[in-house]
Amino acid sequence: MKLKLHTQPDVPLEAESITPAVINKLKVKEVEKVKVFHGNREVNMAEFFTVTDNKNDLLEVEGDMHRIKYLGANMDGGEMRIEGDVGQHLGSAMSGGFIKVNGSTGDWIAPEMSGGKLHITGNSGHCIASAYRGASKGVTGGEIIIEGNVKNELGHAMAGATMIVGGKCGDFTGVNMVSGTILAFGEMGQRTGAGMKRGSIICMDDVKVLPTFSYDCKYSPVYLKLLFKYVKENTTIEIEDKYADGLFHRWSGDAIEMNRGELLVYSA
Amino acid sequence: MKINNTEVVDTYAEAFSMYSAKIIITAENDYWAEGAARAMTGMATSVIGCKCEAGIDMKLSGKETPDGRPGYSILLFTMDKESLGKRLIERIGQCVMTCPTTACFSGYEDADDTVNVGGALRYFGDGHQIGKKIKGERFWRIPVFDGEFIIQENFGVKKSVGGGNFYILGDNVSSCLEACYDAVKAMKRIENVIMPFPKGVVRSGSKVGSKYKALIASTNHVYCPTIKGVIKDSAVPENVHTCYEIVVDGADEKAVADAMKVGMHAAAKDGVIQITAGNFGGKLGKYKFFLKDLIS
Repeated sequence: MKLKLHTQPDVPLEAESITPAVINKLKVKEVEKVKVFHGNREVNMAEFFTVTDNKNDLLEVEGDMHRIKYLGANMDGGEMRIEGDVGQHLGSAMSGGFIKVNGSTGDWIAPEMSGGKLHITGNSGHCIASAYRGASKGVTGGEIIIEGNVKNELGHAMAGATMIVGGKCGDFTGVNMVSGTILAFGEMGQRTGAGMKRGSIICMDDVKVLPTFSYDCKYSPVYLKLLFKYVKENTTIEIEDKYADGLFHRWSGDAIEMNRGELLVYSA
Repeated sequence: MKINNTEVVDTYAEAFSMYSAKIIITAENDYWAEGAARAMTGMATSVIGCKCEAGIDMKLSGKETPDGRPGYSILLFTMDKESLGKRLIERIGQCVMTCPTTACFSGYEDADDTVNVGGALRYFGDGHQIGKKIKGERFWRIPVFDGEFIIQENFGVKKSVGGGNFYILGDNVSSCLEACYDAVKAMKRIENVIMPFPKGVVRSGSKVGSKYKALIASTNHVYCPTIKGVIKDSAVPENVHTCYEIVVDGADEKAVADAMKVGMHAAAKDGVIQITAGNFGGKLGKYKFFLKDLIS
């Protein structure tokens, strides 16, 4: 099925119903009547989207959707391809399937994600894959690839997922991280890994390491050769050969927590 | 039947159903990868006395390995899946993890099942090990003296074929060994097979049972030239004074057949009088490799 945005909403449109599981089992006329929330008003899909049958299982969504929230929320399988920018809460609580965004996204992408894969070719906002305020854990599984930049609090309290960022990261990347992996190729903001318990944050650029991290050694982790190979095969992020063969400084922390996390910082 | 001037006996090799795993060992360079591969495949000639059969399958370039470093693929065979897991844990733990700069990965892409190897060896990390998932596969990073030993959690295993064989009977040791050398060299080019005995050749081929009750196997006396005159069932022709056996284990029936075929053709040269094969009258093994089918 293919959905194309024909009218820009005045206020955010909450479209939790746009998932392969909901849409692909319906006929065009039925999809047009699927409900979405325009602000606090329930409306038919057809008020904003033109629906066509693309004759396959791929759910395509197209348009400038920076005001559309919750696309792919609770998704547990299938594939959705989005052409254009999307708003907040993309892939919220998703547990399976694959969402590819050829564009950029807003804040709070993939909160409470537990599985599946999100691939964003552009930039993303603040609090990507972060725990909601007050929650002790954020995402618990799955994979997020963002080829561009992200803002603050990427992976706040994440517990088990893998995140790959091709560009810059803002402040507090991996703050209160419980486990999982963040791989970042661009500049890092301040306080990377603050309060992390376990997990790995791997940076190609310099990091101002917090004083509560202890220096371990300089080495060439074989694990990164596997990870870089995967990134090369699955993204357009350019990885210089020097990274795969290079040495990384390893820091352990954060000592204010369990001190079992690691910062791997490329050392040339 | 003949290949060149060598007679090929109209018989068959009887082979067994076994379980196998393919193990990829990589290291910073070939020197260390080969060191680990040779250690891991040491004393693994026969399940009779070694609990497993193992050998180097192929030398791999960086383009062919998961981490882009040079390596070797190894095949390891046992009679059942449970013991395959035990042997992998023992041998990878003692021979690969101990070797500088190595990493270890599962090699089969078409496995029937898996055994957990990295998940057991991770405890060597004494709580400092780190598990990581890439593309749904879990890997363990175990801290060691030069950094980390990386090992995949699950290794693919599959039902395979062990004990494919053929015998090379000749006039003397030199000509027979030359034929064996050429045969093994040709067979090594076939992927997914190993010849587990020293340099691929067996001189003490065995039969099932013995006059001594404690032994489950003993010398296959019918191919021993020195007792030809004193036994009634000798299979050594009059003009033959040396016999050797080449045993081949493979990931599947086709790999074994392909290896036997190229091996027999390479072995059939001057000084090799007869090529035959070992079987148990079809009573023990699941697979029969008829020599006439292989050379046609």
